[in-house]
Amino acid sequence: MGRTRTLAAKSLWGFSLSTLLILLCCAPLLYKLMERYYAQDLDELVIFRIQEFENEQLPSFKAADIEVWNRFNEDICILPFDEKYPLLEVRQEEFFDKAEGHSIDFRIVYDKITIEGTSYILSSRIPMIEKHDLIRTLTYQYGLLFIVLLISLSVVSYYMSKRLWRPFHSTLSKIRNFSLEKGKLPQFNSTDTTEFVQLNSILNDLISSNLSSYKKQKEFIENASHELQTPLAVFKSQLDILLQQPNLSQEQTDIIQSLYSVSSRMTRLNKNLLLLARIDNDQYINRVDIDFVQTLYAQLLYLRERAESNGIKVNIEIDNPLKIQANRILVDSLITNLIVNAIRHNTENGIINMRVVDCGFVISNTGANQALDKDKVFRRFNRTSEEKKGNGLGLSIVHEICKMHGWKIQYDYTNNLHAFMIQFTH
Amino acid sequence: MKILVIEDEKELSKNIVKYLSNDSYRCEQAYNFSTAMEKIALYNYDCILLDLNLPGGDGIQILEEIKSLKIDSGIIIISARGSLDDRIEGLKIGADDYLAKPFSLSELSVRIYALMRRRQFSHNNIMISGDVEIDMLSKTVKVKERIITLTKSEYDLLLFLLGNKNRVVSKDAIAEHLSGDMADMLDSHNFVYAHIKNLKAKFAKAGSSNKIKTIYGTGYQWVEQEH
Repeated sequence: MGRTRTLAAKSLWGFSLSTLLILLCCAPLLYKLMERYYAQDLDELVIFRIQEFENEQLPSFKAADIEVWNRFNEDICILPFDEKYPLLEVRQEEFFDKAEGHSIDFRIVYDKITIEGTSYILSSRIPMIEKHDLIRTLTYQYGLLFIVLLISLSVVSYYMSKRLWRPFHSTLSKIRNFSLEKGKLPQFNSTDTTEFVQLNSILNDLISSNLSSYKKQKEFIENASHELQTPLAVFKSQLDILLQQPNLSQEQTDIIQSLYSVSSRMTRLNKNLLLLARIDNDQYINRVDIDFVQTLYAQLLYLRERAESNGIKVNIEIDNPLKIQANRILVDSLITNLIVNAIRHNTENGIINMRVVDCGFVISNTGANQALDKDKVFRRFNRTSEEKKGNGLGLSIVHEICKMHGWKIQYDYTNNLHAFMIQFTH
Repeated sequence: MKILVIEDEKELSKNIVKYLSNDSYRCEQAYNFSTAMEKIALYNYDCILLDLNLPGGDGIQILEEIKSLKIDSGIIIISARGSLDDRIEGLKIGADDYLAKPFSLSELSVRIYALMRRRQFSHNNIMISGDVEIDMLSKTVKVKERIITLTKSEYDLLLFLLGNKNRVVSKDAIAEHLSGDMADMLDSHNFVYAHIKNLKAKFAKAGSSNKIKTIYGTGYQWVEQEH
């Protein structure tokens, strides 16, 4: 996607361009109009001057005065009579103008007068405005008009669009803050603009249908996990009954054991899916004050023994007491998942280090001599090794629990130790 | 001792009955809500195993009915709803214990055993099997009148085996009983084997004629010797 501009900028650009075009197209018309009205004005004046001369000067005018008159009046002249002059009809003719030094257009009218019995021609003329002067004036006017229009258009469109688009921006910010996981339908502000009313109502429908299918999907996972518990219970009870058979052979017992393992893996997978679904469904929102260190020791009660029976040494370092605000079930699950993970992916005669610092918890363990992929480590069903039986959900549960509480979790591999660090925030 | 199994899954109900009838239990079954209500009204039971999701009604209603009729039976909820909230809810209404599906029959048997002992023999806290005598109050174990010292895990393991005496309990059931819900996430073979080995050694040293039989490392059985 290339550079984008706001609607306001776009419409302002369009307005300005069209204004400029309209003004330019109108320029010749305006020019012609101005020239015509100017000429009309002049025409009245030249005729008026002739009438004035005929009324005031002519009755007492003598033939001897003609030469003097013509010398002092450039624009009202008395010429010898000639048939070629059209009478009482204003025309435009070119004459040499001494002041300008070149010929220019004049509005001129001729009339036939009689002085002492002889016929003469009386001419009255006024110079037209020069073409380039007219064009220059027009250009100045246009420029000024354009600038004034541009400024006022920008100001008006800025405020108008700000006001007109306000409901749109409010809707936009509500959608931006919307998340499917939170499951809350945004409340759009009411507006009296038809388009925005439509937009809001369509968005409303779209979001609520999405929310409902998301909810259905979440419920489906939870219900499916629930429904699986009963067949699993039947399966397990059948194995318990089968194990009561007298004189089982080694081979038969091995099969039963393998079925027990499968059954417990299915059970664990199901439990984890259920836990994840419940976290997603916000069923663990109630939080209490928890003594983290105490909880850690409570979970270690069983798990330390399990670690040690696998030949793993467990070191615990408590720098300070740590109280957190969290959901108890989830904190228990977080700690067990981390410890079980550290036991399961450990090596023979390995170690597990646990440390409570400031406002954080670090658990590190020996294991594969290779860092895990930081981007994938918390992903669901991402298994790092084939031989370790696990369902690939333990660390994603840990991640979800941290995310839900707003804690930061990080994986690191240093000094041949795989470390998970949790930063609790209040 | 009479037990009513209220469970709509017939196979599961059948297996529960089969496993429990090895003891001195007499079991009756109810597969749906109305049969369960009828049986509760008509007969007396020492223990009722109650599934919460039943065709025709909610198991919680049965529980409330039992309480309102002031029926004095021990009640264990067996439910697919395994969350802590459901557990607390069930116990609050008056169940004595809560077992989430899927459970092992050995665990169920031990829970029933413990419940019956709490209810009927509360004055008698001595449990005897062959030449082994356990005082549940002081948590001491005697073999032929001589006290032997057991760790907490070994003591729990012994009670678990005794609660299922003459029946085979699986390694997984033992691991889960000893280390809780997370047991299945770790390989329990070494762990269970070590405890069994220690327990066997301690009984052998004390000269007990009881024996723990190993079924190829998959199951273990407390074989009670007659006097």
